[in-house]
Amino acid sequence: MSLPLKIIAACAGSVGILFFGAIMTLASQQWLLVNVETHGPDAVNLHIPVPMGLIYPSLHFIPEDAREIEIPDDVELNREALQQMVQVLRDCPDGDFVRVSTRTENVRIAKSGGDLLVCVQTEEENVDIRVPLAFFDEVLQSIDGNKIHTAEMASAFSTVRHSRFLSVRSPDADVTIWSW
Amino acid sequence: MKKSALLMGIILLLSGGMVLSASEKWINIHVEEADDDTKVDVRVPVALLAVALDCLHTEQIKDGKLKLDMHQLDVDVDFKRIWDELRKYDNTEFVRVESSKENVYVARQGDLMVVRVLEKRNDDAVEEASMTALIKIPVRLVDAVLSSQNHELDLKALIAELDNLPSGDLVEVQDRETHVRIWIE
Repeated sequence: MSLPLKIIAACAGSVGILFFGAIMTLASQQWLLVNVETHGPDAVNLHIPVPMGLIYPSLHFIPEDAREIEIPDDVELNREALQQMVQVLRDCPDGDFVRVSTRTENVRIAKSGGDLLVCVQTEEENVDIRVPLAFFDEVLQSIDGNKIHTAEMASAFSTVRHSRFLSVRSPDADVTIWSW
Repeated sequence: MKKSALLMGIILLLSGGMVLSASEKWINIHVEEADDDTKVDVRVPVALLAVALDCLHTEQIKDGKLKLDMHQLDVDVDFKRIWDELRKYDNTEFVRVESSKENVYVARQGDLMVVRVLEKRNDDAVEEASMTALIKIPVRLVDAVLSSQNHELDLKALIAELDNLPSGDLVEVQDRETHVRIWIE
């Protein structure tokens, strides 16, 4: 092989490795995929991929007054008891905890795998929420006395992987958030 | 030898797990309302109720105890003292009311306090009863809930005792429109 060919092959190899590395980095990162579909004459279909790797560092730059949420004095949050509650839920076998069915709406709260499911069906709307129990563990870590640290709370989203986190179907719009 | 020891270990682990899961009690509530086609089913582990109670702090509920507002009840009754007297009697009928409108029966049957209410629509139409209620409360459940002093109901002790109860019905109320059943399994 001649020298120019060797240089071209080396450059192509480097570019290929860089490209492959970039793809692997993007693929290994957590993404929130937000899909919004509005209905009606001016229907809009939005797909917004949000790389969580960019969100977490930017949380450190949020304004001072938004870094903490004050819990009202009349609400007493017992973090240990709430953590114990999550642990009991984790130890439970899968199944329905609450099931309400009326002529106009159905509500279901259940545990499936390590996730808590909340499904609400009304005549007009359909809401499905799937939250891993690990998410609650993380959120509870963000409670400090009567304050909630927003950055730590947001980092709880790292526990939501490879699932449809939220799905809302209504006459006005459909919203779905996947975590990948 | 090693194989049989390993097998024995696995069997012990599995049986231990089965005993643990079998000892876990769940409280079930079923409500059905015929007139508006509503069905509610709640099924939660008793252990979850216990920790949920720890999370609950209100003016009335503190440290797992519910304070009875005797001013609101407009009477000053020492429920614990009354119960301490009542529980001395085994297999006794405490109340029996039979009238044209309703039959009420309150008795102790072994380890159970039984309350049966039958509301009638007219004098001789028992078949057309509009409401029946059957409450079977284990004596040790009443012991637990009234274990506290100062007009308080000890909900924490009640939940702890629920976990020790054998499977079975606690409350069943049936009228023409509504059916309520609470049971442990």
